[in-house]
Amino acid sequence: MLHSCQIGVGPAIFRIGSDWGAPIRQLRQLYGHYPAVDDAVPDFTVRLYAERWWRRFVRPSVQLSGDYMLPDASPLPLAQGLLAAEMAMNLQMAMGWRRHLLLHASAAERDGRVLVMTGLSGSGKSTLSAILAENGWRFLADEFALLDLDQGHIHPFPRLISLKNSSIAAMDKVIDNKARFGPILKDTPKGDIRHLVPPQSAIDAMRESAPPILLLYPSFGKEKQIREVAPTENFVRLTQASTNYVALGEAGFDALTRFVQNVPALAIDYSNANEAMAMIDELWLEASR
Amino acid sequence: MTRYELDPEHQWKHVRLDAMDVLYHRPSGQTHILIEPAPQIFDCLLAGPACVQDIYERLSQHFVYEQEGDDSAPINTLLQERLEEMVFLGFVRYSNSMAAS
Repeated sequence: MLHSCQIGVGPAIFRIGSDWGAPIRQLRQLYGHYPAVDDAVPDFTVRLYAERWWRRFVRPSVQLSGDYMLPDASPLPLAQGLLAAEMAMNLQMAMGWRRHLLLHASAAERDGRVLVMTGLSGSGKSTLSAILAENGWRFLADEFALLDLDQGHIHPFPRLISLKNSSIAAMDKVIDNKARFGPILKDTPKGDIRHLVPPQSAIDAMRESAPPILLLYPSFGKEKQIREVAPTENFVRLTQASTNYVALGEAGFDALTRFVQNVPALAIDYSNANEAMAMIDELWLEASR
Repeated sequence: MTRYELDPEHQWKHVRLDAMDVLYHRPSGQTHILIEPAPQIFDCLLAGPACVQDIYERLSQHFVYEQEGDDSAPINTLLQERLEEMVFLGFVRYSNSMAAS
């Protein structure tokens, strides 16, 4: 491909090739403070390409491919090339990663222990992890929490934090260093998106795992409520939140049952971020005892 | 009378979570969730091969059946249906053992 770079996030290394220079330049800038992995053997290859050669120039649109691809994926306009790269990297992880049980969850660490938050898109797990990251927690992941198959630790996967819609303005108020923000991507399939570089401390420690002690199912836009999630319900929901549970077979079953047996799970409903943070503080204190 | 036993090659892994159990079946790679009375039947078979009536009697040591009089037929029918489902899923099979329960 005409343009390319290599990016290492947590234990995974991606080689990204592109027909255009702009997405690669943006990636190089936003991942500029991540450890260099230019000479490493990549785990996955991602390609951003024009379906017809003239679509490089005329209304350029980015088609995604790579080691794993979705045959009916729609192309994105070149202005959203960064999002295309991030989506393609996520897709490789979701479909191809086998070294950990992959949970669609965010995660943050404090005092050597990990809080995991899972839920549907829009539940607020990503935003809450971004807020925690600015409030004394180590950011581990906003999209995929990697559950170790032997130890049961959570391994960091601190890719760029994907802020959506109202979270963009909320985080803009909190973070002074505007260089940590990527461009605002308007009218994407998921609304407005802006990428945020995690705190440097999270990037520096991105190979340090830690044991989980609390799992939350946040749900934004509801009256404050906390309820326990029964182990079987938790198990079923986590199999649905994992993209590689079936592929991992018995190792995945062992890792997930151990996680469900050892990590208490609570569903929290909240109406705003401040309320959620107060609930998390309280629940974390109890879980840490 | 048909007797049942857990797959003697132990091609499954069983974990108790709460009122339900989860079971991983190695040959198929499938995970099953066992709800009452399947976990209880499973426990009975851990003690060895058994026919439906054996299981009925083993369970009666721990549970009180909601039945009319001494008629065990409806309960036995239900137990047999669950056992046949477990045979279909592969972690219970028909036993050749003649040992008395």
